[in-house]
Amino acid sequence: MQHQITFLDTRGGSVRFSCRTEQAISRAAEEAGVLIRIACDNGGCGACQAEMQSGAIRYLAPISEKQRRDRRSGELRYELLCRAVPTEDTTFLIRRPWRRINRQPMSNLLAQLQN
Amino acid sequence: MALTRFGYASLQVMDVDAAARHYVDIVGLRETDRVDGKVYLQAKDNQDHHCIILNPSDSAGLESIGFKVNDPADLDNAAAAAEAAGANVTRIAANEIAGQGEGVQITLPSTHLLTLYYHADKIGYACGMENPDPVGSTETGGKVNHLDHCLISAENPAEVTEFLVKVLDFGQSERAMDPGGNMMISFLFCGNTMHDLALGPGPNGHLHHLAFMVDDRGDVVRGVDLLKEKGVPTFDYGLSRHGIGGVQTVYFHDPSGNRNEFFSGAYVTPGIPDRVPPITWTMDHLTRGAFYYENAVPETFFDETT
Repeated sequence: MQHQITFLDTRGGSVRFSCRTEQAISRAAEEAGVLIRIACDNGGCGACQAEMQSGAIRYLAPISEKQRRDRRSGELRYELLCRAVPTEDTTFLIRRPWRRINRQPMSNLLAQLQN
Repeated sequence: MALTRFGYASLQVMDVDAAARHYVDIVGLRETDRVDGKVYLQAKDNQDHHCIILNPSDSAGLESIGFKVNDPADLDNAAAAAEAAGANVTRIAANEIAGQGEGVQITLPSTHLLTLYYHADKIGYACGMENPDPVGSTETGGKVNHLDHCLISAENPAEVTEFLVKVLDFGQSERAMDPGGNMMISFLFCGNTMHDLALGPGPNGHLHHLAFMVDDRGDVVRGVDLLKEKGVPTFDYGLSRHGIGGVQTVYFHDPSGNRNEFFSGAYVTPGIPDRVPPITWTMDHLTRGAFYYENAVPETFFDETT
């Protein structure tokens, strides 16, 4: 089963792709040629922080609660896309700009094989 | 007063068992104790009870860092000097931290907790204490000799550096300065090599990485192979060399996202700390200082801390 994921940036840009229900959103984004910032890939460092605007997620494994909070106010603000999977169609405001890569057919095949 | 070595890092992890497996199977440490849900681990070439403490938590990060002192009287001296400098100081009773004698806990200007202690229970070297083989097990984990240093983040690295140098007698081996003359990165030592504690820009109280020392470049390469084989998330670059310190390096992450490093080749820093002038890096050369081969620093390198 798949859900539609929409990324919004702060300048009005958007991108849409599909994500399987057992797949981390960061992986689905990568398959679609949308590269967001990932560092630890383990739910701890906060590189992949995003604000959920609509929809719902669950987590594949524990994530660091302090990285879900705004550093100044302490309020719950972010989800961590490296361990989040969608449970319905979901829209995120992405904190840091993503990069698009245009994949050639061979690269698309390789990306599918590797994810 | 004399601090002799970086003794341990007490880490916060979201899954203690997963973290323990990582620090044993990947890093190559020995699990030495489990007390009250905390796991204690030590590297092969250190006789003390622990160099890592894993604390169950809802977040990743650093609970405290521990440094050993040369003499029990240094604890009182350090406490008095830190209090005189305006720092918050608390006492830790013997065995309040398992396997460890009484200590003094100082809150740094960056809010990090620094624990000084003299006594650690002895567990011996991994090779044993009588008629040992010169080479340890060739089968388990990274070929880590010891926990060597950590890089912590601070909103004002210069302020923390001043405290550590003036109050606790650290020396500075290298530093990076921005065009305005502000210290951005600071490498400090109390032992025999160029960094025991380093400071970088970022949120107060956060951990950038913990570094584990291996013998040589060959062991760093073997470390990269191990990480790749086991599917451990590495940093953008695999094997690289830092211009700063000149060390061979690879970064990776524990299962809670705390950053680790395998590295080799830190140069020695003998002499009286404040009489050995530091190397200075300017911002226009910092990409080369950070990653010598790539001459580039990914945004994630300094921005992401736990």
